[in-house]
Amino acid sequence: MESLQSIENMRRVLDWLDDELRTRNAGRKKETFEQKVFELVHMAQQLVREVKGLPCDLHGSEPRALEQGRDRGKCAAADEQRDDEKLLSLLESSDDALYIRNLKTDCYEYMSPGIEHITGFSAAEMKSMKVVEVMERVHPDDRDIVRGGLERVKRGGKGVVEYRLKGKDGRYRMLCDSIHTHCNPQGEPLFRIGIVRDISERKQMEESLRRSEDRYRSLVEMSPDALFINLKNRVVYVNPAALRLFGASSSDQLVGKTPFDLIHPQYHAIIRERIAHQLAGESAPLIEEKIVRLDGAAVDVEVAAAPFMTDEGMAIQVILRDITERKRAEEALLDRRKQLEELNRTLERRVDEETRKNREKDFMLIQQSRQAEMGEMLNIIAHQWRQPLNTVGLYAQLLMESSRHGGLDGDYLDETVKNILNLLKHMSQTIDNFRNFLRPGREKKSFSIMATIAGMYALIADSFKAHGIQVVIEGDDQLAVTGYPNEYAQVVMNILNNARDALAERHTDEPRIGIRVGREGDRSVVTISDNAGGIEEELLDRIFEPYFTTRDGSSGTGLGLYMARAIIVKNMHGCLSVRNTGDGAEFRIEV
Amino acid sequence: MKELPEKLSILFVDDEDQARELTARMLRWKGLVVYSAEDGETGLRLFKHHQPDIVVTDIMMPHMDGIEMSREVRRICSKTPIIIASAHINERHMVALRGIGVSSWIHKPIELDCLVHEIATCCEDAGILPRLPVI
Repeated sequence: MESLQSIENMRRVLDWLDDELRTRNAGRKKETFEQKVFELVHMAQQLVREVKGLPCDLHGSEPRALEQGRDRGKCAAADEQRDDEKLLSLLESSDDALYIRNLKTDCYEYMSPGIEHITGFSAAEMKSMKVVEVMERVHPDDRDIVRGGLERVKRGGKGVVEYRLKGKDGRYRMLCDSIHTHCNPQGEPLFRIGIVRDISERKQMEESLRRSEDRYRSLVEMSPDALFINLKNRVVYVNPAALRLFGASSSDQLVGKTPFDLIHPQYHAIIRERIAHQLAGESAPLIEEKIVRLDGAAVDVEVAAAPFMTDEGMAIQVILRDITERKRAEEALLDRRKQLEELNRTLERRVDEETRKNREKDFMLIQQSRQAEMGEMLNIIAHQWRQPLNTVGLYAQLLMESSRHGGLDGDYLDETVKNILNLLKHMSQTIDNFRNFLRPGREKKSFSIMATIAGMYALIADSFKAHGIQVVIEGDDQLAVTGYPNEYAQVVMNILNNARDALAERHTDEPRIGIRVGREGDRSVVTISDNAGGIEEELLDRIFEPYFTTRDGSSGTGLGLYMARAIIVKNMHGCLSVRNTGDGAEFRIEV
Repeated sequence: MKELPEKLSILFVDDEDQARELTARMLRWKGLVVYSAEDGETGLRLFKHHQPDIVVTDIMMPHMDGIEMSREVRRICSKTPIIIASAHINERHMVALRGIGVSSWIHKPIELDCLVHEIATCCEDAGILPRLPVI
């Protein structure tokens, strides 16, 4: 039973104490000695109590215990023994260690088993160590601390030393050694009692706490944002950024002021409310405020604040960010936006104006185009009508001449008038044909390409004849497509008229236009080629553009081919293209 | 109103049948000898055959147009007056006709009195004597 062994050891210590004191104080009263021992035991109890944080019941139990302990064999009161055992069991079971060192012999008189828990050495191993050996296990950096601590308590009294001691496993542990040196009345040190506790963990925690504090402090100190701490309506801390923000050269200029000294009066009501909220533990949202610098200038800031508990009560950490630049940028942005809006407004007006002008221009061009088309029609009708008009005129003159020569009888008159009416009917028919041709188709229908082109050409043939142009239409007369026949015919007519004008303008010898109707795959292909010399290569791409014309003055609007392409592409989903063949141009209509 | 020379012979060429016949008929009523043709080719044949005093022709005609025919006529006889009667006379025609030495032109629709006046004028210019006025 190790505990019994320990108790024995303790007894021996006490016996030794007894003897020692007895010898030294031979002339003294026993009470004095007992009193001294009692104090010693009481002190040990106190140490143990401090270590364990447990109440100790040994109080008031005596110097007698020792007496009785010494005469243990003779009388052993159960209670007293229990008290002793209590003390011992505390010593034995504690994670802390208690040692008693004889300063005369410089040997350990007692070492509690807790030492093994701390150092890895058993109590016996530890006890057998010499002072030098123990000192060697102390961390070299801490040896002076230990020596100093021991020196302080050399002549009695209490002290605490913290040092690192190398354990059996070679690792250092941080120990807290509470030492108490006891001297005889002559002031001669007799023994030293120490209570050793492993505080490595505590030290580590302290260290990490210190590091964390350092980190936080440096964060706060280095922060680009200004920070101050408001405790009980006083500024108690400002970081360097806050000094800069408020234009202070040292924290003395700010510490001690109230937050209201720092904030623009305009915001005092808000601040009062926010502080109240925060002291109640609520967070305050980010707001924009104005602070007042020491030189009186107001600065726009963004403020965040959060309450935190300190030893002295609830404090508020206030973080301020200078947003002057941002404000300026925002204002500049706002200005730019206003300018842009203004620009947009005027732009809209200008665009409207331009659009309106363009629309007017378009309208005028379309009008011109219509007029030109009408002019073209008139021209064609004139061609168609010249001969019959001539004939009608001749009939009229014939009637007059007949009357003069006395040859005007009823039958002759009837015959002549009939002829005239026939001619007029033919002329009227011409107008009807043109009207039908010009009327836009409302509905898509299937139509024969050949018949449509031939019908259209019949209307305008005379103007080609007048220019001596040979027009040949050939190909598949069964080919039919779906679409708007009048519009299709209009496209062909436009191309034919252009060819006719080109041939006439260039005085081409043996002017000729060939129209071929055919099929390629599932599409109809009509080519219209002439021998007028072709179109300048650089203009080939542009002739379908609106308002493009090679003719100057009033003869062309530049809309004919543009509209032709629109009809073929948009209305009939086909394509209209042009190329040069060598002696002329070839238009190709695919539908 | 100018008087026409007596027994004046004329070649009238026009491809439009009714107009040609009507004009020819009325010119005959005016006392002219009229040879009529429906195209340049026929016209040229008749000219060679009858040697008419004066030629009146349209321009646009099949086979041989009025200009070509006039050129041929002028080759045969440099003095015979040629009058063009057409609905479409353009710059190009005029240039060609002047080169050939065409005497005059009138526009369709034809006014008979105008045509007669032109014929008479051309005869005068060419030295073909007019018929003496009837007293």
